[in-house]
Amino acid sequence: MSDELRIALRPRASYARLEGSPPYIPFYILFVSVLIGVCAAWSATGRVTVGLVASLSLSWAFVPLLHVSTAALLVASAPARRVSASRAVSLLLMGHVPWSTWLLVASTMTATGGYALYREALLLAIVPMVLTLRIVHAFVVEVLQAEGRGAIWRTLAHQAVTWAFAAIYIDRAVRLLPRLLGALS
Amino acid sequence: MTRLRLISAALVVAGVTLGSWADAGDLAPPPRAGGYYVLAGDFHVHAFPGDGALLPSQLAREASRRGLHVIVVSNHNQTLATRFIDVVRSGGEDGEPIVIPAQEITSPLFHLVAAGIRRTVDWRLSEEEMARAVRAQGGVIIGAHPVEKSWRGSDAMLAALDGIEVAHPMTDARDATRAELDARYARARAVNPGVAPIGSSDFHMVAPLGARRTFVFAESVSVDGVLDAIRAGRTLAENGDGTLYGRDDLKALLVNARPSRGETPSPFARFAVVMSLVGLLGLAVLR
Repeated sequence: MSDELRIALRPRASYARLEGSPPYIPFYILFVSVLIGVCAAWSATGRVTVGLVASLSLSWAFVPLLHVSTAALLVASAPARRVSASRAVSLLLMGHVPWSTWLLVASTMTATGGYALYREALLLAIVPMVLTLRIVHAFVVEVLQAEGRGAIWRTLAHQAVTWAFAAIYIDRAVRLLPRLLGALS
Repeated sequence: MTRLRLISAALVVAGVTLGSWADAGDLAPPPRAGGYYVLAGDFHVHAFPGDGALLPSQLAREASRRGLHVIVVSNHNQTLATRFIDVVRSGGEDGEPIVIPAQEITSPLFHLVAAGIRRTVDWRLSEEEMARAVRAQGGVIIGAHPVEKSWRGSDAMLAALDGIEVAHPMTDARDATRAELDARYARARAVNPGVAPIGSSDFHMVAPLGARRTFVFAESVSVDGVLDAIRAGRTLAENGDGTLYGRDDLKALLVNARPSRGETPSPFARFAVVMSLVGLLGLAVLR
């Protein structure tokens, strides 16, 4: 079982045990980019090819880069951490398994079931959302050495910033304002 | 990296390599009937950057695989993705699909696909101003998924349309949606008898592109040829069950000149996907 899977299953115990990790940030960016590339190619075309996966991975590489940025912001907010900043960022990024697994499952659902399973695939995202909250909180307590309400606030702030980036992209992509006005009229 | 992770990474690389080897062939040229080229098209496709997964160049390649001679790249209230169209080898005669730049004008009252435009049209304009702005750029206006949830346009708007979506995957989920689309199409034809029936997949990131399609009877295999055919109402829309909407004379022409539907992924291509997915899962959970 990988350290990433241990973090997903028992985050506090795993973070208490893990002192550090080999350089993880480059692996994380490459892994998540390729994961998105393969899953998007699978869902959108039913195939994977070098051209499709390479261009999709490059197109969506801003997603792991944003994750690294928000992780760095969270780590920078806690100078009392017990490991170096880069190790702390690596440890937080290792909590990717819930979302990575969801991406694999959701793309398989939409690639095999089409729009009939699209809503169910989106609803399933509740699972990684909850698990990631738990992972980030465990990271804040065990690695950043925050306690009580401070740990909860840091966890919520990190998730709020991450989701704010997502909301900005969604708004630019689907144009929420005219839709909202239409729904209200 | 441990041995298990190396094997997982090798599976991903092998899967993607096998997938490239098992990729589909080229686009068949459009058949001819009654003096027209019969083109298969998908007139409502979303691209990256936006709420689509694929760049226009990847959409063009996927259109070739799916037997589509024309796609219309139409993102919500922006034309950023259409700037990537210039780097796509596009044309039709040389076996490449035609990629038409567009915008899905997303307003509180309706959604319109403005096909053949380069500059963004303001969604806050009135119906008349919007139609003028699209035509000033040489574009055509297609009513997008005109069901109650997303269409509160007037009869004047229906009369101003060059085309209207009557075949759309949204009807898969609810029979009532099928009835709504049929009723709106009938109303559009009552106030605008020449309106072109359009079948679109409204593709974002769930295959297949061209799940619903439009057969265009064009005088030339070009952007202008396609847009002129829509203005003249020379299209047929095909629903998921094969039902055709449009003029009977065009249906008769299609009988002996139906474009191929392209290729679905082969068993090798599907096996390649499974290899890649298993490899990625291994990289995430194996030590």
